[in-house]
Amino acid sequence: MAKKLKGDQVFTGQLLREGDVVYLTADGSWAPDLQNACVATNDQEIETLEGLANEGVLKNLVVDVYPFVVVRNEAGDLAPDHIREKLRTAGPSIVYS
Amino acid sequence: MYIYDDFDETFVRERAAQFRDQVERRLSGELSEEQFRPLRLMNGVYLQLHAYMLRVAVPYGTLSSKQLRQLAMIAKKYDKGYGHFTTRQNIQFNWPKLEDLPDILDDLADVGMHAIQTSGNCIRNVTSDQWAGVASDEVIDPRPYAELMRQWSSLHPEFSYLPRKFKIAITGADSDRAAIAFHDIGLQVMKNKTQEIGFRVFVGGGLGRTPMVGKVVRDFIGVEDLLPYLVAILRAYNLEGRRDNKYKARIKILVHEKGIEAFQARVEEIFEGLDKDSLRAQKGELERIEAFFTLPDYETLDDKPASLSKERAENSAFHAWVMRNVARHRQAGYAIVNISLKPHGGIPGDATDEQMDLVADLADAYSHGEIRVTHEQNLVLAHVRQDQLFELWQKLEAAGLGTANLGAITDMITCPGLDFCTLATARSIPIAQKISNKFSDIERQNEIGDMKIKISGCINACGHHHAGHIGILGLNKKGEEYYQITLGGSGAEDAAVGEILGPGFAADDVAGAIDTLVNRYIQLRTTADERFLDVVNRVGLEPFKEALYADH
Amino acid sequence: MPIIKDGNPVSDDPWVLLEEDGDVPSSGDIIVPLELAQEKRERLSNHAGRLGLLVPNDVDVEDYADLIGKAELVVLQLPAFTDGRAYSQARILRDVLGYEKELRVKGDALPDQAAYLKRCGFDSFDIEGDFNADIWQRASSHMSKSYQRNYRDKLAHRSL
Ligand code: SF4
Repeated sequence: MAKKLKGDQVFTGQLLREGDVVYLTADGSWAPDLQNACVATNDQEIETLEGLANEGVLKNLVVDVYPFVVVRNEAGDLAPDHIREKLRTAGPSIVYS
Repeated sequence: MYIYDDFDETFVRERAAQFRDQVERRLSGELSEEQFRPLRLMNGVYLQLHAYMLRVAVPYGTLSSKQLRQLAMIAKKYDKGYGHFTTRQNIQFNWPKLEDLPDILDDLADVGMHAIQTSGNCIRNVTSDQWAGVASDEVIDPRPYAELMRQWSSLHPEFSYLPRKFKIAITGADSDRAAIAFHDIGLQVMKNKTQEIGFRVFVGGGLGRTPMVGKVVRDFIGVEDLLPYLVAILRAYNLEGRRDNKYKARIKILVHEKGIEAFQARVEEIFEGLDKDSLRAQKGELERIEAFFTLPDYETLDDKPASLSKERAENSAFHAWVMRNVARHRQAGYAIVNISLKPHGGIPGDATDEQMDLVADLADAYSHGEIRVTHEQNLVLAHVRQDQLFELWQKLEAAGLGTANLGAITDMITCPGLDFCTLATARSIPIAQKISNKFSDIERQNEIGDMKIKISGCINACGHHHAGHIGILGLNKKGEEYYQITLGGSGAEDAAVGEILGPGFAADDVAGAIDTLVNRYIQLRTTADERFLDVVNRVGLEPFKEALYADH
Repeated sequence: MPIIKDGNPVSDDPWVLLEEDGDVPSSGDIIVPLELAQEKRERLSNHAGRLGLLVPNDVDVEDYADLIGKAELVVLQLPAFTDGRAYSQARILRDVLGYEKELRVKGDALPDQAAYLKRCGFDSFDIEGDFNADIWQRASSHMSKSYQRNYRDKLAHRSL
């Protein structure tokens, strides 16, 4: 399922019960903070993570699971590369509610 | 307004119970996401960019104060204290949890509301003129027919798995405030030569990636035959509409590919073969519904009372608000009050729970307990005494709801865009905010006059950008948001699809581009009454292109 | 899943579905694909046994009124549970052509859709996946009211 994406990747999904955005960690659990995500740097690692991610789907923990490209910013933190993922990670860019 | 009887009540309660069962089956893993998705969508539940989203139906945009208070309660209890009114006269909650949704649906059922068919490939919430029943230019009140169609379309056994979603709009006035030409079916209630009531039927209108203006498929269909005729159209569509390509699945493509004559012939053929009696509303049913839509007991009042003239003379902000936001009522001494949900620099269509509670209270105090939602994402109090306008305005103003910009350049339709929507290619709300700030001066807005700016965050066009005098479409090029501008669209009785002006603009440059266009318009117009749209129609796009792209 | 009728699995369904390009046996209860039925119209007129028809979901059933009139079973298809054409075909069979024998749906449907299908005139279900009597029962019995008149309803409903 993973399309060939150029670059390092993390897997994300949304919690089935709550809908919150989460990221796949190295032990197969799902964390709300992107910084805890496990980064895959080659095809083999991507495949492993994909397997873990699908387990989360089968266990009905998460839905709509997919990978996206991340980079390291100046502070060394993980950051999404694409505008959509940037907004999804950071939350709405406007003052709502 | 319509009030549920036992039948309606049982219906929504059972539906809520059914959804509770479906959610349980999903959470326990009995249902997979693939199986659950269409079920949740038919109850208005989406999974959006950050969370689940619930879209609650506001049938033809009509709410009671009790219902609005319940929406406020839901916003506070299960969401982040606000709701978003949409171009389909519905309200969306952006942050509910799946596990809370069954309770929310029960809370809605408590006040005769639901989220049935606010999503999915079925007949969606029927929309109508927000001034229905009170507009001075109305021929016939469309609401009883809208309610009849709401009931008829609810969990329709034959039309719940259509090729694509299906939207019906109805109006009974000369001015089209319901954009009927941009719906899958548009209905204009009218009287024929013999004074019989019926409908002119438009079909195949729509926005999205292939915008089309609806075409007349029937010049007149009598009230009795409305439902059988709708069945004929939907059956033709259900059987022949394309299912191979999601983007070609709307009825507008079928009508376009087949040609309106051939489509019409097919519909007539089906219509002729129907056992119409079995499809008509039961005898007496329409009358039963109509009885709910009689006008309130208005008092006999003077039109334009002296007190109002005095208040207007003394308070220029109030005067400005009356000029823009108050519309003529059919009853002397009364007025239609439009509450703008477009405060300068705010989020178009959002209302906090406190604001909703306040509007509910104001509706009780000043407008027979009724509120309307407009497809332009504003609210309406439809029966306000002219001698109480000033009092009402002061209360609105104090709550940030007194913005005097109805129909003005800052009264923009704006979809949620990439701040919330998972399908978006770019943000729309921040663009609206920048434009709103740029034009926040009321005098400048009044100088510009009537102007409809409509913004969508992707080609799906939920923000109706094609129908904007100025349309703005958010796109994405190499990871950067950029915005395409169209001119000359209209969603009213002069329905037209806007034309693309030229290369797009970066997010920071859009408001400036709009400013340039507006300045050019002011130079070009011959009288102060000539609207932006009129000028575009008169001179074409060229002068505007020149103004925008001359330096490039 | 077995054939479901009246909410229960049928253990001894007699019907045998023929292949598109298969032979036509001379006896037995057979379901014949529409195209084959047209081709073998002559043969089938002397068939010793009952005749069923398998109708594709992209044909105008009114064009086959005569064949359908002779059938004891008509099977309409749901290639995907989102594909709603069979619902309209069923209504035409029932309400326009007056077909009154068994109407079966074959393919991909959720238990939650069974109620809609019944209301359109289907009486038996040949659905993919496992059969769970409890889920089937729950899913198809939630709604006691409907705004539209359903197949075989004598009384008009409250509204319509
Ligand atoms: S137009 Fe696009 S971005 Fe805006 S709400 Fe619709 S789908 Fe989402």
